[in-house]
Amino acid sequence: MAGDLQAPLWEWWIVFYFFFGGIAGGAYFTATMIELVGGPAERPIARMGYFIAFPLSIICAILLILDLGEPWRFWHMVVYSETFTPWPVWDSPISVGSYALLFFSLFSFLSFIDALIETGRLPWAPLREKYSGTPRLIYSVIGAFFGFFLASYTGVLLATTHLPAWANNPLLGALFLASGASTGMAAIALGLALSKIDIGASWAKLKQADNVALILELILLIAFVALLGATAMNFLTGWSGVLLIGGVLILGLLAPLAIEFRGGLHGTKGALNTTILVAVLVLIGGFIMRTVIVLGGQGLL
Amino acid sequence: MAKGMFVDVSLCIGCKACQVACKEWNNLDGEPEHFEEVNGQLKAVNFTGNSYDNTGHLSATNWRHVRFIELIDDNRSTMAWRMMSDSCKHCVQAGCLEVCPTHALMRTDLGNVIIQQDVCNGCRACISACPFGVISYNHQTGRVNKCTLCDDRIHNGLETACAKACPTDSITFGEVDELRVAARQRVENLKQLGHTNAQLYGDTDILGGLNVFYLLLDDPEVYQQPRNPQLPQRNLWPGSLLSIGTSIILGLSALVAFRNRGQQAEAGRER
Repeated sequence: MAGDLQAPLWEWWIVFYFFFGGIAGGAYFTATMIELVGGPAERPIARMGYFIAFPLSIICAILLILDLGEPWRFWHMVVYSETFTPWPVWDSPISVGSYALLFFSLFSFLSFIDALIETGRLPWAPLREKYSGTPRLIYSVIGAFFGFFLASYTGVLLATTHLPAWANNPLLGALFLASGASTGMAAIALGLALSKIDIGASWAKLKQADNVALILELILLIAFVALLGATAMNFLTGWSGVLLIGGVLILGLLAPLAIEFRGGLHGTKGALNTTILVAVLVLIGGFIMRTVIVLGGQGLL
Repeated sequence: MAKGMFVDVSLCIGCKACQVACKEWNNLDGEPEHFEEVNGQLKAVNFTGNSYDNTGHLSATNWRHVRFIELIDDNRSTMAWRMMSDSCKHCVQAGCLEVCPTHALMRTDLGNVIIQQDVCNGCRACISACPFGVISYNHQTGRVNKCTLCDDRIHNGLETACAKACPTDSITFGEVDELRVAARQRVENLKQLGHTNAQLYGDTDILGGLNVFYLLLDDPEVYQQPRNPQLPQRNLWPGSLLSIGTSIILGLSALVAFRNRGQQAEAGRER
């Protein structure tokens, strides 16, 4: 590669955008899976997923706009400013991702309203009739597609560059997706625990799904670093190395898995504290991973 | 017919007239990092310390950069001094153009790639999509900049400012096809004169051809150019397919974890 490659200078707005985008997509996907196969006992999990996904999708849009050099031209992402017509660029992850965020916001808004009605927070009879049953399942499944896209395209976006630390293997999208799923489920668990919503035996199901996501993320992280070859030193030395090994690998992946597989803290209060501890660790790990990959990949750490 | 430039580094004398002409015609500011006010007077600071190189790299306000490469062997018995006037290559397959989500980057009827400043919103995707490090972010405007191949000049029948100013005709402007014919002949001539490493960089073998291409006297790496640049989209489909595979694994595992209806039916049968 040439020695003059330039970094796009994507910094903290983008780190937070990638992090929140992953959580939003992961939380919504979890809710959709419950729509498909879950029972009444899992409904609080699904609702929490919807309550998390929509506000985060709005925050994501704000973060993306703040990162632009010309924030007032944010609409140029989805509409060609010379003709005022939509014109997606299929080869551009940013273009397709902007449309995905737009549609995800729309569908997560519908689910958000649905969850408000279901819990009686929006007690308007006509709405109650509209937002229930089959329509809910349809827009949830379509929204989950865009949620998955939102969680993973950010990694594909980085891989579609020439910076060696991002471009030397195609695993970033898959890694971000697994992390989105694990952090999305962790955010749901944290939300339920802090809201003191007891879902009884369904805790085990949520933890089982989250553990699979964590193990997959661990495998993908190791494969990502291994495939980088000599470029991996970008992420294994200096602050990047400390954060990746200490923050992501140990704190964010191995520690939560160890706590879960050892049975956690005992007693009702202990179980709740375990849930909160594991969720916080997973969320911290997910955030540090975005930080290391986005900033470290540009040599900004 | 595409217009472009042939840069013959064997004729470059490192005078930087091209850099100055580019700055003047395009009304480009000085680099803030190279100026500092000392006792009320503007002083030049932060020299690169690298031969006669005064900018170090291309930037939002340096659309042309003359590289100075000093090749000295270990026992200091031989020395070669290479110069190369570098700029945007206006690739036929331009990665920057393909990743731009706003269509701010566009190709004109003459084949040059330009950035529409009234459309660009400063997302900066194009910067890391360029394998040559040509596009730069302008912190003052919040948009990106690069060489336009003097779009205003060439659409009015003029040659580029850098080619016009070059005193040795190291930079020549014209129809790309005609330039390539002349360039291939020049390579042959140089080889007969003993420059065995003389080679074209950016003939049709790289990114469909570079509309601004080079005659180099050494390998591309000597001039800090990538030997085999690729479109950034090379990772798009592998990355997307791996993401889809991961989503299937995650989806199935979540469906298994949250399955309830089957269990309820079984429980009902048992009752």
